[in-house]
Amino acid sequence: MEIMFRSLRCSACLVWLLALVWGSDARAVLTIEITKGIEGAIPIAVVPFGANSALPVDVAQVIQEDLARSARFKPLPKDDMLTRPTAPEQILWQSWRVLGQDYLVIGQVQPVGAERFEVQFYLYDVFSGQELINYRLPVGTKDLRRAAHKISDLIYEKITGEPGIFSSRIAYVTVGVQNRKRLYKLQIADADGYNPRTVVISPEPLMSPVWSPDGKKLAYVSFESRRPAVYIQTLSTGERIRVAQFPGINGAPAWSPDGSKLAMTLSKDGSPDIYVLDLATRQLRRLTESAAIDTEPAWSPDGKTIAFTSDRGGSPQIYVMAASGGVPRRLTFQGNYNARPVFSRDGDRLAFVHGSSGYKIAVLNLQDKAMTVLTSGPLDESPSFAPNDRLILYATRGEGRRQLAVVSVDGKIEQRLKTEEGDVREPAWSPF
Amino acid sequence: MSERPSWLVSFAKAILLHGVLLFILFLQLGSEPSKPRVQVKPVETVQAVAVNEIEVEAEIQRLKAAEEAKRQQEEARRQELEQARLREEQRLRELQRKQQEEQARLKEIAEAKRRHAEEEARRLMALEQRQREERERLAKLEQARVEAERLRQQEEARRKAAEEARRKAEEDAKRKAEEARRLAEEAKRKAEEQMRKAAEEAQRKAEEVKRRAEEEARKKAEEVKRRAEEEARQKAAEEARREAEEAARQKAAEEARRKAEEEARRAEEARRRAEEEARQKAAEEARRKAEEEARLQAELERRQQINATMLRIQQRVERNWLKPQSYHAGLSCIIQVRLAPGGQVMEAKVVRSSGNPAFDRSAEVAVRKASPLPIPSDPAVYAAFQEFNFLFKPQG
Repeated sequence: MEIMFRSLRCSACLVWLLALVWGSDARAVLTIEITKGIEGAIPIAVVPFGANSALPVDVAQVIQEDLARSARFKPLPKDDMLTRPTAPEQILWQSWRVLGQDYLVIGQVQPVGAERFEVQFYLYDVFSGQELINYRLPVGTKDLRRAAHKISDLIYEKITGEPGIFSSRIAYVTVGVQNRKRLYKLQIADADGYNPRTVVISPEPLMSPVWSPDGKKLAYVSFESRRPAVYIQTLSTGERIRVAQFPGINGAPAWSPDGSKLAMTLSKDGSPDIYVLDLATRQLRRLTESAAIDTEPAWSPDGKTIAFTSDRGGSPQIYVMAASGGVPRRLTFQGNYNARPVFSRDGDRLAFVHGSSGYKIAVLNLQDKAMTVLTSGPLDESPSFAPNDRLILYATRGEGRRQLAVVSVDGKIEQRLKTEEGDVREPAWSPF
Repeated sequence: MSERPSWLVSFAKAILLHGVLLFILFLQLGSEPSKPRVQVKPVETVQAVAVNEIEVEAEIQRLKAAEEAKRQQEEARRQELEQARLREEQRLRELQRKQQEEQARLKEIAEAKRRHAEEEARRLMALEQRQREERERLAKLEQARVEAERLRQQEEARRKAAEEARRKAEEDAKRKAEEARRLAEEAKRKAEEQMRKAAEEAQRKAEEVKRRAEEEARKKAEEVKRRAEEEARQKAAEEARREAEEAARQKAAEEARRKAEEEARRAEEARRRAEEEARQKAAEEARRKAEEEARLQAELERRQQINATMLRIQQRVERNWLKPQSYHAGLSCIIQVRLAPGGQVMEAKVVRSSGNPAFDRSAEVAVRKASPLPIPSDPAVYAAFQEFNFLFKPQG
């Protein structure tokens, strides 16, 4: 009897235990942990926008190219589309789901007067059918491309959570020949290379344009007076000031992050060294003192560090030092040529030209000091981070001339930008 | 009987009375008939007045004629008178006849009355007679009834007596028969007893003789035998004693053995019962354990299936998750999912954001894109996945 009771109690215990297990089971919601994903671009379909008349700009095409260039998206080729809705009620979700498209962009361009349009577009999450953006944008004919870039930005930011860079601009120098004479142009264009406009034109060399942190000014080197001088030009007014014309080299200007100073290379005291010019006080402070060539300074985003190229070690390598002065520290050790450093805007990485069987664009992770070569050369130069650090703009040689190209920071996407005739050099990507 | 002369006297008186009455009536009828003749005379007077009229001379002819006529009339009247006379005679005769008839009728009436009186008297007498007869009849009936009652009582008494007699007779007979039977039996028994006694006596005597002879012989033999037997007996007694001892010993041994066996049997029984109980208990325990194990096994299998399903779902979602290309390390979000029985994602919503909308969105898209999720058709397994969470927590 006693035994029986005990076993009864025991089984009751068990049942109770089981119930507990079940109970806790019922309370604790089953959770599946997702720790891995695939790397890759997000599939997105940008359907040609509806329009009653032929437009000078294919808005959807511009958006598609923008997104493709961003390396974050993989737009669906137009020809693969099963349907081409231009209004929400025309959407057949399944036709996009079967194509594995995560997002869908549709829109219309309607004329609203002489040379005026209204662009309306929608962004959808294909698998939930949720409308993410419904946006109207009034625009003039000339600004249709800008409108498209704006739409790209909105899409990009909505999906990635980061601001888009498609409305940003690039500055670069072209070298052409006119009347048997060389002609240098400092130009500004859309981030995709379209809409170029000339800021400075000169028969003498123009070099090293850099954007002020607020994006309103450009600093550059001009040889227009036969000797190199550093100028700062306000883009909206065209007004410019010469900030440095010292004996010898005046080159490679670099803005401090707050825009109050300009670091540059001067050789007024012998070998080229790094100096910092306070723009307000015009005070010049020498930063490096070496018999070797110290050039191409770059400010870290926090303003505390300056990186530069020096051959003091025998070959051009990248060094860093405190912006307030001190002992430079060598940063690059791979290969016998690492030059023209530039900080990413988040300060985590350094892009530069890496020479080894040609000149390529490479990135150094400042945390783990890992270097990644992004481009294939053979003569790539002047890397410049996109405002969102996702892309690097640089100049490359191709088709018999120098051109602009963009590479994603992971090196997966490399694209040439369409630019006009002549060599294109020393590009610089504007801030947002 | 003595009343009859008075009844006859009154009857004779009545007859006499009726006879006197009838005679008076007859006298009255005989003085009546002269009255009708007086009535005829006035008619002849009238005629005489008419005939005395005599006519004048001129009228001799006519008188003659009249005479003639008168004669004729006379003749006629004569004839008429004749006829009248005849008629009168006839009438007288008729009257006579009628008188006679009346007398006859009166006589008849008287007769009738007499007859009637007689009849009445007779009827009264008859009535009286009848009444008397009735009384007599009633009296007779009463008498008969009394008689009958008496007879019935007598009969009853007789019947009772007869019954009693019969009963007594029967009892007597029975008793006598019984007595006779008993006597007969007694006699028979006595006879038999006597015969038996006689036979017994004879036999006893014969046996006595025989017995004495035998006794004699036996005694002699006995004596011989007794001596031999005494020896034998002593021997036998010794033997018997020994045997008895042996038997007692054996019996004790047997008893002991039996007891031991009984003990052993009981022990065996107890052991068997204990074993049976233990076996049953063990079987019960085993069954309970088996059930428990089966339940646990089922639960285990369900869990294994759930785990396997979780793994498959994880792999499928991971294949569909386009990780954002840049995010701060340590980001994670939870997506709550509702599944249809086929694994279709009915709902996927961010219940705990990473703080990074793009990260959240990529996770949500991954879940939706992975739909339908690979869940088994087993409803028990589906139940676990009806609503669950994904924790998106990239490593590295």
